[in-house]
Amino acid sequence: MILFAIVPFVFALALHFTSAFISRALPPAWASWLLTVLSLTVSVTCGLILSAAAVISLARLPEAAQLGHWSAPIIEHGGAPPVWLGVLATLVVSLLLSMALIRSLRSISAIAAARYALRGLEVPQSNLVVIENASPTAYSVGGLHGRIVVSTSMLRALSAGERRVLLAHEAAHVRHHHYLFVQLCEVAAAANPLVRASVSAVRVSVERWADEVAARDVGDRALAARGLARAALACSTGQPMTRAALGISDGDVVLRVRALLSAPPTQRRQLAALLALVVPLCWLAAAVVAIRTHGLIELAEHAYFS
Amino acid sequence: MPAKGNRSRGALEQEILACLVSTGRPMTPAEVQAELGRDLAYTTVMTTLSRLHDKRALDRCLRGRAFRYSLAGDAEGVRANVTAHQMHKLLADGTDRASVLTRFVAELNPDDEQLLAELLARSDEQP
Repeated sequence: MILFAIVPFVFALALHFTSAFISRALPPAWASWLLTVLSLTVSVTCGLILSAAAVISLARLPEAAQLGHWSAPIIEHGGAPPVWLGVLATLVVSLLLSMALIRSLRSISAIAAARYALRGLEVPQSNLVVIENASPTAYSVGGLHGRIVVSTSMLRALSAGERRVLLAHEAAHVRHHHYLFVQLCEVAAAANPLVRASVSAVRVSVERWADEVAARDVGDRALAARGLARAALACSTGQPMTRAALGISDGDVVLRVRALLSAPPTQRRQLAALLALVVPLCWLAAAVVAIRTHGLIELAEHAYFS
Repeated sequence: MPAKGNRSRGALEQEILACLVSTGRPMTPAEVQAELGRDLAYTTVMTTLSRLHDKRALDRCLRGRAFRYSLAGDAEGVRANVTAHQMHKLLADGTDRASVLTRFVAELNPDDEQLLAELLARSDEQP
């Protein structure tokens, strides 16, 4: 059982070391999906296994056995982990669950706050918000109906073609609900710190994803690269933000421009399929652990009544 | 495919709005067409402008023989500034709350700045 129980944890560790690689090696849309699904799967299955460990090791306590009408010695012989481990697992599971809950609530309230700040400012019947602002800026706001916010100075810094790139990029964020990928990874990371690395990797991936969509929409990769570079330079000469909102390291714009200047990403189906295999493996491991745990308690119940 | 049609129509509307904002003065359809600088029929630009006017996104006034279009409700500018301030606060608020916004570009360090400037200079030479 131990062998099955450690599978999701092994994959969590592996994900920690491969997140950045996945985001680089696969086409950005695939990478975003994989990173999100992988971190959620790993995080949930690790939680399930910890919970199973908590249940089975606390079940060997005589008080618990009495209450649940099962035989404590059977549980003990069945290879239940020591009680202290059960207590620890219980603490860890409740801590991580509350972290995930807090993170989810924060995401929701942050989206609500952003949307509240923008209420009624859209250009009528569109999702575009133009702000009179000295510093060039452009961003999209997540939520059910996403918004695109651009400042007048950003629009003025760009040529007509470059403006199309920017708008197509932000529209791609909204259309493909990129904020959801990032927020789900954030929640997964809150519930399992081992997958924290996937958050920055998925942020990079959704930016690259939107870049690729923009390049396709304008039909010119070099133009897309130019738009991105021009916007980045406009931002850096304007008033700097106190803090990079995306937590993206500064080198990323250059990497994104470089990626647009080279050929479109190659589809590596085999690598993607191989990585996707981790999902059923984790669930299989969690299912085996859950079934074994349940079976052991059932056995102990039979022993109690006979 | 109607969905794609709607999408490109919406994209063109945004493009035209962005164009009017960036020039900052009322423009005729011909001027907008020239400023957009790509293969767009005059009628397409004119239809889109009048559709935006129907949606109350644009104001227009007749000058000579053509309408001049400008962004509607410039009085909103003051409120928009307040918003800008609020959003800046949100962005500066730390990763947690700011993470719901996806910014087009992050900040640059001086090395990257120079690199990008060179890249741009090179691509401007060979359009």
